[in-house]
Amino acid sequence: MQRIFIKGIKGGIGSTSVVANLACALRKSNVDVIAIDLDAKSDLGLHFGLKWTTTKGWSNADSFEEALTHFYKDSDGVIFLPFGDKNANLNDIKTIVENCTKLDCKLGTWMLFDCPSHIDISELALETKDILIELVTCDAICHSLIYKRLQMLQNVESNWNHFFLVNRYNAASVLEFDIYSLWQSTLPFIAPFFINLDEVIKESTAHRNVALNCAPYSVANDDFETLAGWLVSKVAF
Amino acid sequence: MNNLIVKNSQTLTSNDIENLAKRFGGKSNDYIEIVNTQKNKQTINKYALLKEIDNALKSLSN
Repeated sequence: MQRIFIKGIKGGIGSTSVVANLACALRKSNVDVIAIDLDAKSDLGLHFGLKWTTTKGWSNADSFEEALTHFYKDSDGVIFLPFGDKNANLNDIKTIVENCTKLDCKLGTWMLFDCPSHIDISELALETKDILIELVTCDAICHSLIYKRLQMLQNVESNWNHFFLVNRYNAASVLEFDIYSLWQSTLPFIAPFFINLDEVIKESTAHRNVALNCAPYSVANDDFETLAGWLVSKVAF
Repeated sequence: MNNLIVKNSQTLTSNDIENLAKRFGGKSNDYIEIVNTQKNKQTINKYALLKEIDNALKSLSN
């Protein structure tokens, strides 16, 4: 099993959309994909067509056996677990991550975690094989946060694979071009591509779906296929 | 008859840089790296917050 943790370096960067779209892009290769919502907003399920009135998830369960009853499968075959509507602290999140890792999965299964931006990643007990993707947007605040993160990474024993990935890149913006060019030539751990800003993401979410199903020939879908392929190559090496 | 050896452009190519480096020594970066470093400096100087972060990082590393 390959664990991928996806979080925004700050709130509102679009980690849930990335998890949902990536899950479907990976699923296209006929591998098992499990997406776990660790964010209290509990909106990952909406991308997979879960009913708005379904509010329960793992946070409502008293035990992991009970949490298993909250797993769903979408029309593409992606298995997902909503967060629910109960409060959960860092320990609860750590426990659900550990329990999900113990699931009896097929070899080659991808497990994607949609992490809230405020979570302390060093608390999650990530392993050498794990990949953490921190989403950023091309702006000065993210530039500041990236350098703070790099300083933090110097001070913790981080053995996981850490990457920064630009989401919602606006090719028409001079500022974004300047910052992206700077990052590409100076920043360690920056992914060698970006996810373009594309209206398709919002539109497909409005249709309770993902870009792959709503606009298979869109730039957005191309970007998620690139991301999926890049992750496959990272795992292979 | 045109003299094909004469170069009219003032822009240095990677070959020019390499030739200069061979003549005068001290080549440690390739052409792309030199251009990138210049571009990055310009970008950092263009935006106040980026410049402040860059200065802070430099003073931390010293």
